[in-house]
Amino acid sequence: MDNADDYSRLFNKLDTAALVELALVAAGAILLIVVSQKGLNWAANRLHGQHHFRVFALVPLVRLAILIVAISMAVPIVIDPSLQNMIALLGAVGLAIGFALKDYVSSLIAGVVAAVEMPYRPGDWVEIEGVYGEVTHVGMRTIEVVTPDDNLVSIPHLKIWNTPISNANNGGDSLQCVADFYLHPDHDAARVEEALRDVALTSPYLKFDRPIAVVAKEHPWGTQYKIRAYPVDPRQQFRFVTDLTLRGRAELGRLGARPAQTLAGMEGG
Amino acid sequence: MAQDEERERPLWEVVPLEERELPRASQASQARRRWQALGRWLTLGSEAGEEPARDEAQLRRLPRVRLANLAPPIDWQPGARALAHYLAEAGESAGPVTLLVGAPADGHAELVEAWARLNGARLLPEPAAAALLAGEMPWSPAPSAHAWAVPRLERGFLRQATSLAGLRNFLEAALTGRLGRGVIGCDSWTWAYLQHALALPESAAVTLQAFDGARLTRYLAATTRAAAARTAGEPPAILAVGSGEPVLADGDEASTSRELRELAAHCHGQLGLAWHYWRARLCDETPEGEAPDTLWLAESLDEATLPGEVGEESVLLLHTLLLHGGLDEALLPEVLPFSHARALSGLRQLQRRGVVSCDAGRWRVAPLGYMSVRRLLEERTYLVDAL
Repeated sequence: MDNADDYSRLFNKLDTAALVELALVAAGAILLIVVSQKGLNWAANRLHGQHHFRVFALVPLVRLAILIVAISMAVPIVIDPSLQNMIALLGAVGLAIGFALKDYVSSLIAGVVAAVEMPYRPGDWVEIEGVYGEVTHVGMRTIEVVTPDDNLVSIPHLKIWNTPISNANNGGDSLQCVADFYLHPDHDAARVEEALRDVALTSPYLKFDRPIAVVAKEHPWGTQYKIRAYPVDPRQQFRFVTDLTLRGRAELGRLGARPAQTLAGMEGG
Repeated sequence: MAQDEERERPLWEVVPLEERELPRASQASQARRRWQALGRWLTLGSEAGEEPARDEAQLRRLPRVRLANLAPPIDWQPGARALAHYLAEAGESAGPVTLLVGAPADGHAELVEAWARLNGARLLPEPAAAALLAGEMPWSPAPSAHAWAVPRLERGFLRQATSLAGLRNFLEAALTGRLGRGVIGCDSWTWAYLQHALALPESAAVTLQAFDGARLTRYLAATTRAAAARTAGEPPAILAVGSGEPVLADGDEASTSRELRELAAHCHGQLGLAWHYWRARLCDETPEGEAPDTLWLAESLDEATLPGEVGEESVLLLHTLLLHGGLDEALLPEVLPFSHARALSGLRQLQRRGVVSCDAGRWRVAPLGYMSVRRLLEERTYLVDAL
């Protein structure tokens, strides 16, 4: 393969019939991808609970399957897929990618890996490099995350190679929420703990088959309490935390527990 | 033999909660229900597939006066006697307090009230809303030789931290025997909630055994005969619109009509709920004023249907109503994370579809909307009752 003639022998002769066949494969693949993606998204949005996440998780997998089938149909039309030809072609393509399209292709490959390993799926709540939000679309090169402020952030798949991916619900409908309370040291800890547990138990958003924990941590300025509990649906997380916080504050006020006045030096718990 | 055994089983039976046997729908009826549900799902809750059958269009629903005679309100006294029998058999092992758990339309309060009248027990009045909001114990009967009875535990709490603490104090005192002997009626949704919130012992709970197709047939046949006896006439034949067969065929579960087997399964064996469906489905074809010899049982269930996509606020409203066994309008903001105005607006929309009803300012899930609501909450993975 040391001259242009050798490379030209890699490819089949693309007559009209071959071109039509290629076009049909491409059009069929595009059509199937569009229909399946829209159909699965529509179905997932009409389902709730675990079914919602299971159908959402199929979106990138189905697209990947369609692409693999389409490529395996298209390649034999373009080239004679012998071992020698494939080595030569892949070598040339690899050289081009290595110089010019490294990140782009890395994201595409990472997209394939992400579709199989599933570090995130549509419907998951993830944090990647400080961006927290709901994954609304897993594309071939990027994922789309909608933040609580309703910003759409596109994140390339290549982040999965060397960036921690924090997934709050991991394809399920259990997402832990935390509501914080900061109290002056002078209070009855047992009553506060019971009252905060009751606040969680009386939230209309509470998922009952998951545990509730009230955690206390002592600081120089007072005591920090956390309610850890799960909402029925991960999409309720902010309303759930707001409900816990507002009712928790009211209940603590009723018990006479004063809020901590000095937050200097406060640590995360 | 099977028929004899069936007849030997008492119609009214009180059993521990875990021994209640849910009537099963046949595979064909389950498949039909799923198909209808799929149709509703695909058409965003429109009325597709809910057109009455052609022959049903020729029939008319029974007027109220005739229904009042033919299907009068359920007399819960036999249930109260079954409860008294259970408590007598259980003796000391029943513990100081027994909770009778019943689904929303299944008469647990009426049954406990009837039990109290039969046994000379003190009926404890419902606490005031102000006392609940202040976190007071909803009831504090002084121990005495006479037992006490609380017909509706669900009226003794609000889903908010202060009120829950008050109910916890009451139940701790009651279950440890400090308040003497008593019987508490409890809505099955309240029970499900309190089991999670207060870890109540299941051993203290009993319920009415489910009315399967055979039991339901026996009950309805007896009420139809009693209605005929009141007017000194013959009981009318009640035929299924679909098959033309009698629906009150006496016998065991296998010989029970498909309509009543399906009704019992659809209502999860709840007699009170089945009674509402029965009344809604009875039809005749005679002009008003004439008492027909033949009545028809319509095929369609005439349920209230929910819209295809129910918003979160409506779901929270429905769940809250069920957990409290219905709620006064004024208390809605105390237990919901949105304003009174929004709660009322949501309730009125649901009321227009027949899903909820309001009686003297108290909102509740309507009996003919209950199963749709229960399915919705189950699909959305909210806490649901065990009955």
